[in-house]
Amino acid sequence: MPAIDEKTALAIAKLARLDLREGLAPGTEEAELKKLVEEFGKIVGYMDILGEVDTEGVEPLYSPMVEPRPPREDAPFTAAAKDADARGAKGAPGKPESSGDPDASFDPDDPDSSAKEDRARWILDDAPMTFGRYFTVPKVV
Amino acid sequence: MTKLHELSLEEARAGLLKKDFKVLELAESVLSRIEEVEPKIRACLEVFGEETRKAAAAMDEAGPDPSKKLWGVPVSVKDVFLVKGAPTTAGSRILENYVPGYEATVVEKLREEGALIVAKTNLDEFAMGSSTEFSAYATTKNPRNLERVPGGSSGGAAAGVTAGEFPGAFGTDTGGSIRQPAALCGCVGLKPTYGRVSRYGIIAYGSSLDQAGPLARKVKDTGILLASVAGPDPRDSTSSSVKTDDYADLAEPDPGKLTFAIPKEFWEGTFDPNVKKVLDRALDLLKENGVALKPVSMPRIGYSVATYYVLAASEASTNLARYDGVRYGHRAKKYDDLLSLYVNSRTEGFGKEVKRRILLGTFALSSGYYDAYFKKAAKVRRLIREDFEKALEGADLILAPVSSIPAWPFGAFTDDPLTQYQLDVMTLPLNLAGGPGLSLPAGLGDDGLPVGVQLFGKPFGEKKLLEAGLLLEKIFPALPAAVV
Amino acid sequence: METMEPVIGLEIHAQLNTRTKLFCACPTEFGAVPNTNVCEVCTGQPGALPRMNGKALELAAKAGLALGSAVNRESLFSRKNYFYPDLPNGFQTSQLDPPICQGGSLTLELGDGTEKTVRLNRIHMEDDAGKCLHDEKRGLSLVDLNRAGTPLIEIVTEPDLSSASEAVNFLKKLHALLVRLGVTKGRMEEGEFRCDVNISLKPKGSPVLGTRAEIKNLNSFKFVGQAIEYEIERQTGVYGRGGSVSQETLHFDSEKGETRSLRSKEEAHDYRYFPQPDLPPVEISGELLARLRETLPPTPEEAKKRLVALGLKPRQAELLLERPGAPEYFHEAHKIDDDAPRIYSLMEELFLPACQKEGLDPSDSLFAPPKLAALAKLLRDGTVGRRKAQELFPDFFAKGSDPSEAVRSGNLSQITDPSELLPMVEKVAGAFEKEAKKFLSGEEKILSFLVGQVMKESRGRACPKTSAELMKNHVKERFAGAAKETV
Repeated sequence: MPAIDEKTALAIAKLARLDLREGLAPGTEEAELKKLVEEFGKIVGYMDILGEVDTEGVEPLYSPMVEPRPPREDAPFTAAAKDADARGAKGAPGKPESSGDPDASFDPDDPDSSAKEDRARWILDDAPMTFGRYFTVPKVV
Repeated sequence: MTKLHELSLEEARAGLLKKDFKVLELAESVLSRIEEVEPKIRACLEVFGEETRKAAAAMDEAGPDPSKKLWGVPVSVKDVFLVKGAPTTAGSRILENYVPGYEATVVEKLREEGALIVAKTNLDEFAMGSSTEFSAYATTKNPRNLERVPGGSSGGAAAGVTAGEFPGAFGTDTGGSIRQPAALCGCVGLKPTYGRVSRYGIIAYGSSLDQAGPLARKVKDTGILLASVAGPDPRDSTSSSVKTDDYADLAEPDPGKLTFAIPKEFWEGTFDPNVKKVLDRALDLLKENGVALKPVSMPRIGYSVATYYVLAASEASTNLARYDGVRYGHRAKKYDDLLSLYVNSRTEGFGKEVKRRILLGTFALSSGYYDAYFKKAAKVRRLIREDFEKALEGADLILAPVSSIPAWPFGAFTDDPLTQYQLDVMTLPLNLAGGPGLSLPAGLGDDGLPVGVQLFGKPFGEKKLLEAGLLLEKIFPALPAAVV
Repeated sequence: METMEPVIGLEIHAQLNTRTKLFCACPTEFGAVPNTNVCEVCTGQPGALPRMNGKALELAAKAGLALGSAVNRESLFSRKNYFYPDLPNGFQTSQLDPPICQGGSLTLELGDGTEKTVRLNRIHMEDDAGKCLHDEKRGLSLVDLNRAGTPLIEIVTEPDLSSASEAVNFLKKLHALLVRLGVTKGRMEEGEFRCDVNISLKPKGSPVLGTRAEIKNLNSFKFVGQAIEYEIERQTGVYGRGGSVSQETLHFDSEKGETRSLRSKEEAHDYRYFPQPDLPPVEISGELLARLRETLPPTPEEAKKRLVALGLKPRQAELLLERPGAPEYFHEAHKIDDDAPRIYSLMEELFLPACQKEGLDPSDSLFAPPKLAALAKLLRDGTVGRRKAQELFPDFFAKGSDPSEAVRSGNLSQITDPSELLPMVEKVAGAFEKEAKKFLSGEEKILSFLVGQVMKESRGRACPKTSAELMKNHVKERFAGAAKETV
């Protein structure tokens, strides 16, 4: 089991852009941080039981997906195409899923291109801080 | 006279189509019930009263549409399902003011089938937890006992459905988050096969484990809800094109022809005595009805907790990297550079449990530890799936308990994450393997708390699973309606 | 100190020529209003999921086939995790292991006539990040995510290059190939073809590599050459002073012509790569590979051979091959009129320069191959002279007119060039000697008859005035002595 000391814990926290010291009551900060690090170490230590399993020759299973979606067409996705997908995708009860290939249909050339700016408008509206049409952050040196 | 909100989903829909009552009347009944019960159980983070009434009135105008599976039926969704134009928080402060401009495919499909989205339900923050205590906004109470947790992370959905707030709800299940709260509250919960239902527009926790699924008071209702949303989605690459069955067309099976695998690793642990009593009785009832119970072994199940937490936390640690205060959500007020913008926004916005899992996941993926933790866990995952496949050879379904203890008092485990993680040992394995699971009430313990059992099926075998569920629903003692 | 020699490897990012992004259907157009070609997927909104663009896969595989790489029938996407404002998900979706292509090579013709084969390590697909603009005055960085999610291939070479000129040579050849394949449009001003350079020095003959520095994001061949030369000098100087080169990331300041250390984005890059759980493994069927192989253009050697076999000189073939679209155009025209040298010279003198001026690819020009073939025939038949052809060409090119149509409708402008008219004048004078002598002896009116014959000879296009002048002088010269005799 790797030693999870304070240095390691703080390094991992930094990788994840978290500050373990934040919110700890001043005065007891060091003691609380120690507790946090211990807890982290305990949790990692528990995970070590994985080492008991014989996995010689076993391939990792990263996902249980079955018959996932194939690559899509290189075309914009229109609302009409979406409807076709939805109808095709559900299929009739009991019938095999052939009545609408949900992947067959991204219609090219959305004529309503003026919707483009509006389509993205909500994304900028949800931003906590913008400058004109840009997201902003403190200047990256 | 049955109050409209007490009707099952199937009954409600049938009544609407027959015009026994109007959509607006059903909606009003549901909304009043929510108003009455919410102060006690706090299952909902948001209720769409006005929108629901308006939509209901419009539907009454247009008249019943029998081609729509959920015409006029009020349904809630867990607050990880994006609903366009409505705040979606994931139960976290980091998404405090987030109003999405698009919505989950599941929500779109529900609307297309005529459902009314009536509320967003409470959850553990980012679906990480088993008691809904980790919500940053509210504490949901178990309708059967207000001193007890409803389970989690879909605690609001389970509590709401059980208390009669709505006839159907959607939650998500990554490690048991539909099945366990269903068992602790005493309602029905279904986790579909991974890929059966689209994950698009659902705030991601564990990408290879998450699955959206229905909760309701009756098995049949969950079938109808599943039928409304099942199928591939061009926007979710992991969704499956394996053909769907008609999950609303269910026939009760002949118990004499059923064999359930009984894995000893699930049944031979330590149980709360009240729970054990109900479980033993359940097994007896099954035997009395002619169901064959076949003892099997699933030897790697004991490693599920470690396998799950390493994989889920790893995936989550990167799924949550997008919450950085730049494009949406909480942005710290004090920062002096890019690094502190990120650190302060995320540290302020995420709760303790979420931070724990991000740390664990970041660690498990980091250089030097990846092989021993992440990759190793993925290998054990394959072995656990093999255990499922083996157990299902020569059996129709696997039967297992859901939780070794009933709904627990608030605060019992919030400072003891490892113990809380280990309580999930019976629900986690299914998500690792990927197959479908149904949780339903087996009875009420002597302490008045519900006890559930779960059935696991072969991948994409939801129909058989639900049909067996109908049988168990008939055999097991019905729970009294939750008196809140 | 022993002689140090440079060891150079390149990482090239080329934007794939697709309409939409790699994982969402947003357009990939350049220069749009900031944050308009975006959606929930490419801005990393909660709940969004990726769906891969099949065209990107085809183009990446095609590049691999053309470069002789092994195309993996199954490859994986990985998450490459780090925090940066232009990276909306907090991870880039790239390919660690296995990538879509492994191995491959490109052979260069070196200046001294020898060849050098540069080996490739891998080619993989990944999505591009957005753009960060830095506002000094306000102390802000501004983020535009239009580019986020654009499909790229990254081509990584082995450290087989040994000089700036080799590196530039390699890049030019790779660029031309990828553009010709249609894999990328390769417009470097728009950032569609960028290069990182890894460079170290080692003692000549030693197998031990030195510490390498990485110069990032060079987007012109010129800058690549300059940056490498500067860096070789810099590192040589460091070793010369007995120091050691540190492993660092450098930026090339094109104004000053020097490399500078970049304040690192992250101290230590622990990217925590793991397979992307939201995407299935990337599969390429045997059929698709076979189909892609068929669409591959011939290798430069094959293409050159074909052109030489049709009658071009090797150097002519090379020149054609340097111009994207030119060989295909040539072949099309040659199918109609097999006068290879003439087709070539028309292209070289008139057509290609006109295309270049307008920034047109030959295939996009209105002056399609059959028209150039028609012009070649007119020249060969003498219907149109060289100078006339040059004069008329800009009009033909701009309008896409068919030159033989123009001749039929008499729409060709006047011939005023004496050198073109003189042969006709001579011919007429020889055919009508009697009349010519009569003119000399004072019958002025006969001149118009002779000029009329020149007009007939030139199908009405000869300039009468010039023809008359020429006829007068020619007749005098030719028949003056004789005329005196008759009188």
